[in-house]
Amino acid sequence: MTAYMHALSICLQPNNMLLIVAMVSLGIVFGAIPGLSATLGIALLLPVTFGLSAETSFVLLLSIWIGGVSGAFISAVLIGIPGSSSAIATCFDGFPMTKNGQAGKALGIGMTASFIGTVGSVAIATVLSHVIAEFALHLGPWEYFSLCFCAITLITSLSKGNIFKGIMAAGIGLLMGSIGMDPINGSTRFTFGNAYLSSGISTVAQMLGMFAICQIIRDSAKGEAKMPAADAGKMKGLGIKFKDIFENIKSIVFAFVTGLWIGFLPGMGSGISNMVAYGYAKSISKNPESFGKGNPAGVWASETANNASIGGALIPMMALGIPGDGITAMLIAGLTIHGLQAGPLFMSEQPELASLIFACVMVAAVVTYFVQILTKRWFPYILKVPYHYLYTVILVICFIGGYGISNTMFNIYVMLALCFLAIFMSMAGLPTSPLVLAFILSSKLEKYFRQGISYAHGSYEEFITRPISAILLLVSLFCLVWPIISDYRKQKKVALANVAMTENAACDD
Amino acid sequence: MKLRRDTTTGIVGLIGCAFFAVYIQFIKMPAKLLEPGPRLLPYVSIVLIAMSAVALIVKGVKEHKIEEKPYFPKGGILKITKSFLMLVVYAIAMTYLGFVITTPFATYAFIYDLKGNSEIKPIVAIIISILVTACLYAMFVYGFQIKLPAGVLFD
Repeated sequence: MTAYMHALSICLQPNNMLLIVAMVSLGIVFGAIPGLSATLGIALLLPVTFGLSAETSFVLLLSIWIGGVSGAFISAVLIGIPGSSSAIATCFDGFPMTKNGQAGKALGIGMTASFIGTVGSVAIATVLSHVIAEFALHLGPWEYFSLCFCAITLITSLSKGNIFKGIMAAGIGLLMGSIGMDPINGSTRFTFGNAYLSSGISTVAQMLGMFAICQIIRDSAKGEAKMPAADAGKMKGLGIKFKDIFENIKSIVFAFVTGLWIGFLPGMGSGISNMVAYGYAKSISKNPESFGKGNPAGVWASETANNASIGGALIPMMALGIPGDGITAMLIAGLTIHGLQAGPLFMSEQPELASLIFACVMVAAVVTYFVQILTKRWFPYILKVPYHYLYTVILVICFIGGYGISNTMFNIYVMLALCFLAIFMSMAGLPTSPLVLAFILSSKLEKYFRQGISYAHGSYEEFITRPISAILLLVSLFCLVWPIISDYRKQKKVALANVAMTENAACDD
Repeated sequence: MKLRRDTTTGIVGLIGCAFFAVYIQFIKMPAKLLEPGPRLLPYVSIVLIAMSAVALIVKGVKEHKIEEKPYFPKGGILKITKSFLMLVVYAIAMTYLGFVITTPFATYAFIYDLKGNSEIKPIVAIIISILVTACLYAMFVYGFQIKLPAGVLFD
């Protein structure tokens, strides 16, 4: 508690508060503009943190994260285009509310629901992470390997369309992660005689190339960098009353629990939680037919759930060092830049910095709410920023960031090569999330596996005889096999239906 | 016969696997290891990629009669190739001439490349290009203490 209060006082120092306000505002802009996102914001800021202290770096990165996730509802409400996948369900009722002349109220709900989701989930994460981290200290390399493996298989199994695309992306991530020195013996792999490659591919170069640059030039080529005009309507005040919260309390509570749990699971996060929570809010409503036509409960559910995922994602990141999604993977990369490693040891050896992370997220959530209340009337103007100027600045910042990794041009070329790979993957329909997670976890996965075998004197048995490890491996196996079985059953059903139709047609003839 | 995207992905995946499989043999294995050694992770990744590549080729062949929507609209491939080449040229120019000289030109080119159907006055683009370069230079060099490339010719 003392460490947390100390961390809170650091966040409340004038310099840090100014930084939080600035980064939260930037995050809101990144979240609000479709095509930009909190992920992109963090990718751009990672190189900036090279010259800063660990504390300042985290204030910077966490503030833009919170602002970005929270700001995604703005375009969903005003123009019916979600700022990111976390606000898809917000469009369903948020935009109809705007068309009904209730834009101010919809924005007020989005702001308040985001605040409730973030603050509540971070409070729970602050308490739970310490408990889980203490428990995690008793785990061996076998359990850690199984945990990393489970995280990768979970995110792979969720790949849209085809699980093999997810597996291929994870395979590419592991292959990229194996470039450089191996974590146990120091043997060099795939360096092709290049000294720069012996330390492996930089996570920052990967993020900048695969997320930022690729997204900009791809959107431009696809002609997606255009925006419809936003209808401002009445924007004064918060737009809602306490009564509105109590009227929707059931949806809010369920959405909160859903968001927290889904955020905790690797690979899921806010993109899924908002849809699940929206579905539930619709199912318990007395007027389910009003959903999709501007029912405020839909906005409450979606926005509470996607922000509650923030706290959920923080738990495995802080307590176990396992990133739940792309953003937490980047935050872990941010820790690595400063020579720190997230996980149970980080929680016990660096309690001040661990507490600072939780405290900063909490302060950023409160600041986000106030910034949103004060700037609500200008939200429609955010969506009028000309893309060609904004994207140009981002491209140049990416180049500066690429150079800043090691003060050489080498990482700029790596960044461009990875951008090329990302364009190919995008055209092939390969998802990037399994690649990022596999790349980030590859060294841990390999280290724990090989350590586990070494400690067991060459035996593989411990992986299946230790209960936690065995359960995690079973979950992983299920995640990999279930989509294939499910696909096969679906195909069989379709084939049977086709046969039945043909027979019926033959009988009719 | 036009190849489906899944088939092309599978073929590219297999070629990549073959390339890396050859290079795995160059990884030195320390003697007397109790564990699988440094070749394990590359082998696992290659097996995963190869397995999924084969599955995608099979899928692509099975579905070859189904019409596939183009990923980019008309002219999109040309546009993304042009944009990517501009980035490569910017990187090469920056290597030799440094950030300060190349960035105003690159910024001007990017503005025109990304403008789509928007109307832009050349003078506005020039002013913005110079301002962006100056502001970013000041912000990173003086604000964040991050070095920017000076260029091989001026180092």
